[in-house]
Amino acid sequence: FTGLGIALLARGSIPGLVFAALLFGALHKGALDLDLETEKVTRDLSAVIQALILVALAAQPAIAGAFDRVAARFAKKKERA
Amino acid sequence: MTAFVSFILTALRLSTPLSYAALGGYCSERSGTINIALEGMMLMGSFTAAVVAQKTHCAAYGVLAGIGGGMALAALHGFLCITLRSDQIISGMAVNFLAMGLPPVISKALYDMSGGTPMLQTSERVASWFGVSPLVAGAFVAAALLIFIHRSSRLGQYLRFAGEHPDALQSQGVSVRRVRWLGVLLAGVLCGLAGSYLSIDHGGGFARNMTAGRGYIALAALIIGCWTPHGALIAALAFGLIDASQILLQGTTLPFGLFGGQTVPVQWIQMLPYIATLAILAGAAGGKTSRRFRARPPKALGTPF
Repeated sequence: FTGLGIALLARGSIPGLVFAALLFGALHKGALDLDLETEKVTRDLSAVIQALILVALAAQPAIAGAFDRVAARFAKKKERA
Repeated sequence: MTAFVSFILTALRLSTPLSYAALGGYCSERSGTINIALEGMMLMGSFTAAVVAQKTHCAAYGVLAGIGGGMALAALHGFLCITLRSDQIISGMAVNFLAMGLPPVISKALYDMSGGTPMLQTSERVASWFGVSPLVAGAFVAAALLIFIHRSSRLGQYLRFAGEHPDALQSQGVSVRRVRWLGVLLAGVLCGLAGSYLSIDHGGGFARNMTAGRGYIALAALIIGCWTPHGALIAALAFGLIDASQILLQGTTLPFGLFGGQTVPVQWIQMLPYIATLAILAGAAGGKTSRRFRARPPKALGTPF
């Protein structure tokens, strides 16, 4: 299942796949260390972080659209002034 | 005779979470939102139900909390899919990952263990009708309700139009987004019910990854049932039967003295439900089957509005 998340994050580009896999591997290793170092936080926090990454990925078109709209509003203000 | 009755009862009990989840999938997918997150909503529902039932020592509050948990994740999925119009499969997988990770984190904080504490008498053992819990009957009630809505009610027409032809619905003046939100939230309610049945009623608490892929099997049941409530119910019941027969078959010796009369390894028999899922899906959704039974998704499924 983690592989599916990596593939979705890479979105079809092979260098992106390498970086996404590195990112998820770092998350996984960090989570294992979390298990060793802390008492209260377990390695499942990495699953939550992966989920947040996927949520951000899913919301990406909407956020890009919001940025475009804000930029357009600034451009209009410049034209008027 | 009693062995047969207990077999049927086991099949009913095993198919109940699948029925609830498949009906929830119908509500969401018929109105146009691909819902892979059935698994995640069920898992979150079972976790919240277990936690609340354990804290309040009352099973009814647990069921309500399960519904709430399912609805919370459904709200996230709906927000991502309907309001933000993002890719619905990515959103579903994100919800699934969240549900796989969040319960152990919370249960570690609350109970200092990776799973809800087992409950003694807070589990709903309201044994009415020969030892069958009310939630099992509730699955059939929900199915009957949805069949009625699907066939002969305006809400059902709105749901179907939102999935097949949202432009027509929009021209009628009905807000397609609101109908889709209703579908997704209903899916959350039903999957929350499925999850709470799993953790409070069927089992004695929450275990990590308790649903074990049932949400995906419910999705398969929905597809086999041609995206109708009656089809989804029948398919879920069939999967429950297969699951029950898998439990029955474990440990029986091979007939006709094959391989010297040894017992079949347990893992092979546990594979049976999933192999059946693959076989039925390949047959139902494939191209060679007869026209009437070809499973066709709603036309506007997956396209945000």
